[in-house]
This record gives sequence, structure tokens and C-alpha cells, in this order.
Amino acid sequence: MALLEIVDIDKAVEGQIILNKINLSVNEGEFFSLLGSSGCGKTTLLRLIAGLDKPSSGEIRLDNKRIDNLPPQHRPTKMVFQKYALFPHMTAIDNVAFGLRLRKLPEAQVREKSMNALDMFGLKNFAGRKPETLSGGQQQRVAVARALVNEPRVLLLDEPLSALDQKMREHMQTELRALQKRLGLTFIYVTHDQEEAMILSDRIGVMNSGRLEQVATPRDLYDDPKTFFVASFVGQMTKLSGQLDGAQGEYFRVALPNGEKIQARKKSELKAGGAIAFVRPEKILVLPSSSPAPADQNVLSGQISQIHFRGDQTELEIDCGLKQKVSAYMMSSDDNFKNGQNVKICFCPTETWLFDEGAT
Amino acid sequence: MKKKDERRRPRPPNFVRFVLVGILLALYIPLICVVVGAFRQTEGMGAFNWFKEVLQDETLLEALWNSIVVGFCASLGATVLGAGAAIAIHRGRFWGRPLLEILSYVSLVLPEIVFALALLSWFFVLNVSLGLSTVIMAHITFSISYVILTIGSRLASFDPSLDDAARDLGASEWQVLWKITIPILGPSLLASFLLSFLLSFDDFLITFFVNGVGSDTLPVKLYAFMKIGITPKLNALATMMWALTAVLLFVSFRSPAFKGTLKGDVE
Amino acid sequence: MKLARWLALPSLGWFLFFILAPMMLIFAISLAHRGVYGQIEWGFSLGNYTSLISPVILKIFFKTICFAGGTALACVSLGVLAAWGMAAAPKVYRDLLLALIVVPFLTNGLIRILGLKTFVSVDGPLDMILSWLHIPHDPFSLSTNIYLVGVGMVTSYLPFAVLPLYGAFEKFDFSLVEAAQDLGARNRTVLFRIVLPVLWKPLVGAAFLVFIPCLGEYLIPDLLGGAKALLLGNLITEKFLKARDWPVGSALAIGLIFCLLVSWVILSYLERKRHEEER
Repeated sequence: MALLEIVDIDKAVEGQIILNKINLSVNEGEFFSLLGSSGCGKTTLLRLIAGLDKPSSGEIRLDNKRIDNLPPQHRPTKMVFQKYALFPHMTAIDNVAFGLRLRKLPEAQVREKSMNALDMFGLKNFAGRKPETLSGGQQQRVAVARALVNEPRVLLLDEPLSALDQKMREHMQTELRALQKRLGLTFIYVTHDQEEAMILSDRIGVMNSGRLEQVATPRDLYDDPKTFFVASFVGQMTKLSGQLDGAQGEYFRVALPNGEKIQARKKSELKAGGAIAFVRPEKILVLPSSSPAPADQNVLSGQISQIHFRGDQTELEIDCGLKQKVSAYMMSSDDNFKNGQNVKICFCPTETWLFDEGAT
Repeated sequence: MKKKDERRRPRPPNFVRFVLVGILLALYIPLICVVVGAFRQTEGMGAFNWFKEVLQDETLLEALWNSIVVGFCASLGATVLGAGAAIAIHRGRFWGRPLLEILSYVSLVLPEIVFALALLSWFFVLNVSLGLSTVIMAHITFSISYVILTIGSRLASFDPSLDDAARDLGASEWQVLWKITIPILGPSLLASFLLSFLLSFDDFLITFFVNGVGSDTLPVKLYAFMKIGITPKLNALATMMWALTAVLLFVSFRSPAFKGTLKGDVE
Repeated sequence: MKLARWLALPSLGWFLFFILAPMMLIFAISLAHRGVYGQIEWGFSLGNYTSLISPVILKIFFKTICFAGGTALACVSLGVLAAWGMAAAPKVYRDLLLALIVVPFLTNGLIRILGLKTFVSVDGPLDMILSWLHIPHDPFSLSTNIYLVGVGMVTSYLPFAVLPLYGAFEKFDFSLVEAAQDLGARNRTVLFRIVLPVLWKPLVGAAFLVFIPCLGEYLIPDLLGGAKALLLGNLITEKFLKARDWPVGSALAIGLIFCLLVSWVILSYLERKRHEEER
């Protein structure tokens, strides 16, 4: 049920490659997020879908029809901009009505639809106000109303919540998700905030330097990252760097600088020599050094160097004689450790992932 | 950051203050003399006698009318042409863009007298008879660059995503221009118009070269009279001209848009 | 923006027609020859240019450059002090001072000249003051003389220098001065090592802003200087409007432009040299 298909999209500007062979399909009724840090190309991709820029090569299809050669007004997409882009010389209702009036709909119909759109966001009483007199949250809702009133098939949102304060942002996140579910509309959402992406999305496309690294549900991104970047970017990770030292099928032995060895599962193509093993901190079990080490587990010994109390979770930093400190999370109620205590840390080889830094 | 700045301005030595006061005196004493001279009384006549004489002088009234007509037409032309140029320069890439920018710069830097005689020669060679229309054409030419500067500085702080939003909602480039860009530029357009009007109203040298018989503007008439001699009537005329520009300036300073543009110019 | 070329076309065409073409025409006329009745006889002769190399005309060129240069120097020196005083004034006064400088700037030049003439006229304020102080003077020579031209030029062009310098002072980071003083620098060092290098560019810019229009100034020497102060602007106007010798007048105008270009080249050279020194 793919609604939008992005096929082999490339975009280069003055010799610099912004987007590199992007292939993506978004399903109807899906809340899809493009996640990445600034400069990764996610906003550019969104603009290509909207028709505000042209791709260097490739195609964009909606409902199996090519739309990349159409100007914005002929595409069934509408965009909500990062700084809302409300026209300052028009009232809220005139802003919302703008797209409808361009299509030369009868004025009575325009007014009715616009008022309904504003009403949907509880802004009926603000219809006659100019944008500068509205709060950030209100402006943002007018921007969404302005886009939605034109009944697009796909709503494109470019980091719409980044200018709001934390409380407002959380409130709008809930509102947007509820709105999307209620309308059954396809949303494509651009953000650099991975928590936001995880909360809102059905699926996430992680982007890095113009490439699409992985497209998956939030759960799959977390439990099964496919590239070095995705593993580093999504969620917290403890990283251990060492040298590859033999393999058995999927599992490799890694020799750490402190002399100890661990087993890890290969997740990407590896080159001979150095590699980095990733473990999720909550998957690391911390035991007093006197406890017996469980079999079939990676075991390292070390000393607790810092304890961070985080409410329901406590983070322990353990110095294992390596360059990087090992971070382990545990439930605060289970925490009986003291600073300087000698401990054993154990983690399962299946949860220890090997990525090569350069591979995708 | 502004608050920090306020405290950290070292007080200048006193002689700097003296210089500043001296300069203000040097600038304003002549102007005060003009105004005072206009009220010079001769036996039997009232204080406003000279002002009445000016208002009753038909040639002066005709010159005033010419100044206003020229000012209005030239400002209109310059604003329209300059606004188009400014928008094109700031928004687009087109053939001839560097040429336009260079010519605009040349028009600002060229000494008035060179420009005046060049135009005079050009009109002569083209066999165009000199009159109000040639004056208007000349005034438009030197005003355009100021309009480009004024509107250009406003465009520099214009939010580019407004255009994107309008296009996304279905507007063609032409519609974006008329429904979004120009309404938002409104105050700057007005400021450009006023600036052009002031420049045109006060211009002497260029008008002197390219005007014809009977199309004298007020500054040209003033000059002719000054060559003959200084009289209180001239002072009265000058005072009224100054009052007119002062009123125009005051009115436009009230509008926040103009103030912002002028401050931008200073910086 | 595809619309751009259509928006730019009218003004581009206007500039080409009303600036570029006339300038080329002037150049062509300067190579032509004045006919018996004052008409232009086209041809190619450098005669007009060679006629410029006469002592009379060269003297006028020299005089004009001196006047313009002197005015620029005076305006910048006084202007930088005035701008400093304005920028350091309490905020309340700053806007007022700015307005006070701007008003004469936007006042018609003729009115300002009239003011000066009124001031120095026979039975005018200056005449009365000097008489009251019992200083012997000739009332008639007061009203047109070469010093008056200088005063007129400086007072006319001062705002041209003060405004951009004020803008530069506003942007100037005064904490640099304080830091230098804190490190023990005396006022003179502060001036030459800290303030001037930063302000150098706006200073030179302001000087040029005054110098260029001064070169072609007509009104001030004409109305305030009488017969003795014949500057380039007056000479050109005379050739064009009285003597009807357009070829020579055009050659003079080209000469004026040449002076401008030379000074611009000198400026760029100095600028480049200073940049190299900094490295």
C-alpha cells in the first residue's frame, strides 16, 4: 500500500552531493519520520517531495504517478515549515484561506472551510488576529491548519516543534499524533530529535550525510540497528574498541587493549583489524567481583568510577582499564554499589554488536 | 548585549564635545539666518510681508507646481523600476545581473555634473526637446539606485520560507510577488517614494542642465534669484521650502518602517 | 526565480539607455571638434585633450583637487570627533543628535548656501559682529571670497562624513579600548594601535564619500566664490552652457572622471598594501 515512492533520488548543488541514491517508500496512513542531525539532507528530501526544489536525478511517485516533474501547486502534498512561515500581513483566517482562494473556490465555501480548520485546533476566536499577536504554539497550529485545509494526501512537516519550549513541544507531539490517527493522513515528519521520532512514528528513516542508513520501526531501529551510524545515533550505547581476533560464523573474538577478550556478533561488513563493539547499557549486568561469572557471557572486571542517580534508573560508570568507560544502567532499587568497588560486568555476545566504522 | 554596550562607552575628552557643539553651530547658524532674514521688517510692512510676496509671485508658484509634478512622477518611476530591480537582484539569477549592479553603483558614484552634461548631450543628439519630461527622466535615473538600496536592505531580512510557503500552497511566481512580497515590502516602498521625492525636489544641478524654458523647478528659480542678490523675499522662499521638506521628513520619521530603513542606511 | 529577468529588464534597459549610452556619447564628443557656430563636428581628434594641458586649465584641476582633498580631510577629522561625541553621548541624546545632523544633510544645498550668504552679507550678522568688536574689515569682500568657499564646502559635506562614521562608532567594540587601558596603554597608543586600525576603513570610505562629489562641485564656488574661485565644476558648466564648446567640456568631464579613477586606484593599492602588512 505504498503511497509515496522515492526512487534513486540524487541531489547535488554546485558539486556538493546533498542526497545520494535515496530509495524509500511511505505507506498510506503512516506517520513516517526522517531522522538525522543537521546537514544530513532530510530537509532537502522533504523539499524535493514538496516540489520546492528539483532532484538532480531520480523519480518521485505518488499513487504510481510521477510527481517530481510537477510544480508544487499540482502536487497533493502540503508543508508545515520550521518557523511556520505565516504571512505577517494577513490575519490567521486569511493565512488559512490562502491556498483555497488561489484555487478560486467560492468565497462562502472558503470561509466555512477555513473557520472549521481553525476550530479543529481551538483557534476559532483567533481568526482575525495577525500572527505576531499569537503565541508560538498558536502560530504552529495555524500553520498546520493552513496546510490541512487544502486536503493534501501527504502532510510534510519540517521540524515544526523545534522552536517551542519543552512543555509545549510535548503537548503538540501528542496533539499531532492524535490528529494524524484521527484523519488517517500520511505524515512525513523531519526531526533531529530521536526521542520525538520514536514517540511519534510508525516507521523512521535514519539519514546521515545524504544517505538513508536504515528504515525501520522505532523498535527495530533500537533492537536491530544495521549500521554503525544508526547504532550510535539511536539510543545510548557503550562502545568498546579493539582488534578482531578470529571468527566463528557470525561471532567474532575481539581483543581489547586491556588484554581481555570478548565475543561479539557481526552486524555490518567488517574489515580486518580494528572494530568497535556496541552494547546497550541496560543489557550490561553488574555484579560484585566475588560473584561467579555466568557462562557463555562476556565478562570484564573493573572498578566503579562514578554513580549517577537518575530517578528510576541509575547509571554506573566502570573503569575497566580501557580508554572508554563502560556505562551500565540498572534499576535504582537494585543498586547496592559504592564508588571504587571492584565489580564484574557481564553481557551477552548476542547483544554485543560489531560495526565497522566506515561501512554502511 | 545592548545593555552591556550602554555602560561601556568611554567618555570622550571635553574638546571632542566642543567640536561637536561647534559643528552643530556651524551647521545651524546659516539656517537660522535664513529664517530670521525672512522676517526682516521694513517700515510699514508686517513681519510676514515677504511670505505674502512669495505666495503672490506667479512664477514662483509655477515653479513650485513644476517641482511637485516632477517629484511625483520621478518618484513613481524610480520606485517601480527600482523595486523590480531590487527584487530581481536579491531573489534571482538572470543574465545581466552583474551589469545591473555595476550600473546602479556607477549611478551613485558618478559626480552630478558629469551625469548632467552627459544627459544634456544625449537629449540633444536624440533631438528631444528639453522640458519637464527630460527633467523627470533625469530624476528617475539618479533615484533608482537609492530605491534599490532601500528595498534591498529590507529584502535582506525577508524570511525566505514565506515564498516557499506560498508556492507550496499553490501560488505561481507572479502571485507570490503580488500577494506576498509586495504587500510586505509596503513600508519600504513608501520610504523609497519619499526619499526619491526629496532627492528630486532638492535637486539643482541636473535640473539646471536638462530643463527647458518655462519648466524651471523651485531650486532653479532660487538659484537665478540668488545670482541677482540676497533679499528677504528669497529668505522667505527658502524658509518655506525648508518647512515643506521638514514636514515631509517629520511625517515619514513617524512611520517605523522609514526609521528602520534610515538606521540601516547609516550602518 | 524565473520572474527575475522580467523584473530587472526595465531598470536594466533604463540604465543602459540613460547612463551607459550618454557616457559613451560624452566620450565620443570629447574626441570631436567644435564648429564655427558652436555645433559639434564629429571626428577623431585628441585636440581637446591636448588643450587641457595648458597652465590655466591644469591650475584649475590642481586647485579643485586641493579643495576637494582639503574638504575631505577636514570633514573626516571633524567628523570622526563629532561621531565619537555622538556615539558616546547618553542614549537619550543620541537619537536627537542624529536627527540634528540629518536635517541639514537633507536640506537643499541652495538653502544652506543662502544661509551662509545671508550670514556674511553686507549689514548681515557677521558684518554687525565684526563692527561691534571694532575689527576693521571690508564688508563687500566678506560676502564672496575663497575662504567662504572652503567653509561652505566643509559645512555642506560634513554630514556625509559624520553619518557613516557614526555608524562605525556604533558598531565599535569599546571594550577593546578598556582592555588596552587595563594593560597599561596610554591614550596615544590606544588611538593609534587600537582605534584607528579598526576605523581605518570607514574613515577612508567617508573621505571618499566627500572627495568624489567635491571634485565636481559647482554651486558653492559659483555662489560663494565669485570670479576668483573657478573650480572644475564651474569651468565645465561654462564650457557647456555659455561657451557652447561641448567637445572641450566633455574632455574636461573625462578628465574629472580620470582623477576619480586615479584616486580609486591609489586607494585600492593602499588597501592591498595594508592587508599585506597585516599578514
